[in-house]
Amino acid sequence: MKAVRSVAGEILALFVDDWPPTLVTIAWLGAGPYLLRAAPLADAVRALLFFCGFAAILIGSVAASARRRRG
Amino acid sequence: MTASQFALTAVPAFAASLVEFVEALTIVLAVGVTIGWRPALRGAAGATLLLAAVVGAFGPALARIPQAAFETVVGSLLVLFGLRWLRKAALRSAGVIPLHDEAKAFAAASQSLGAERSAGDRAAEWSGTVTSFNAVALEGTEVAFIVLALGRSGSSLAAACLGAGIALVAVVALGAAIHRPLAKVPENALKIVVGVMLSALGTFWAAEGLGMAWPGGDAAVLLLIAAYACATALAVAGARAAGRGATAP
Repeated sequence: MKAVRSVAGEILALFVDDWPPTLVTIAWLGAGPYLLRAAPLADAVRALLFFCGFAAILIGSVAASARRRRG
Repeated sequence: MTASQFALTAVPAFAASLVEFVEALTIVLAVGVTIGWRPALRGAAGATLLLAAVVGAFGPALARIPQAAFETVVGSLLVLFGLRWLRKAALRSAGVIPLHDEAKAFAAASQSLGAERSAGDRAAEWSGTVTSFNAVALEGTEVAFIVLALGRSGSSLAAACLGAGIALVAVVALGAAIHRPLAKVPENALKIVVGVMLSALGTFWAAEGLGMAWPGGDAAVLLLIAAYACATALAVAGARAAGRGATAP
């Protein structure tokens, strides 16, 4: 059981290092395409906004981690 | 398969595998030097065979999954995986967390294995085999995931396996030649390259799988790569600025 928990933990760690940005990323992956498809936008704008969501999560989470770690 | 599709599959597989195999090599070398080469090589060979079996078993099966479902699930996992690599690499580039130091990792592993050695030959040999197996299996799991994710069709799987295979041969050959950890490999720069490519491919596939259309078709992946590279540069600059702000009186 301990070995199974350990393997599961290692596999989870492949995708999650920090929960808040991971959860926001999952939320954007889930909701982003539906919200963008519902809006009256050109395909290029939809694609740009979809990417911008992930870019904002990356930039924001790195800045937050830096602030937290340097206290 | 076009040349650009080949490059988009083989290059990230090669770069990711190089980084992971360099980290695994450090531990295998520490086991070899401290306890002996037999347990080091036995553990490494066992883990390599296990990972090859996983890729061999799941690779062809993945090709049978409907394309939209595959793109949605694997694209989402690639985004999570790629952004995790980019976050860590950006924090390392900004000096917020220290760079991965293979020489330090080698010294730490050798010290802890040296303590095991005093427990007796058989126990030390078993511990060396397990340590070597765990290191290769752990680092190799990321390689297996990337190879499986990128190799969604027969020819892509071959390209991804080729990229990972070349990295494996290069790392093993260098390790056997110099018998020291490969401390000069620019791991963080490679991690940024891999993170950018995986995030770009993941974003492209996830959106396509969920019914969004990309203007320009497959060429949009190249724009996404450029865009993620810019976002990472901004993240590094932001982390430096945030760090300065946090430490300022």
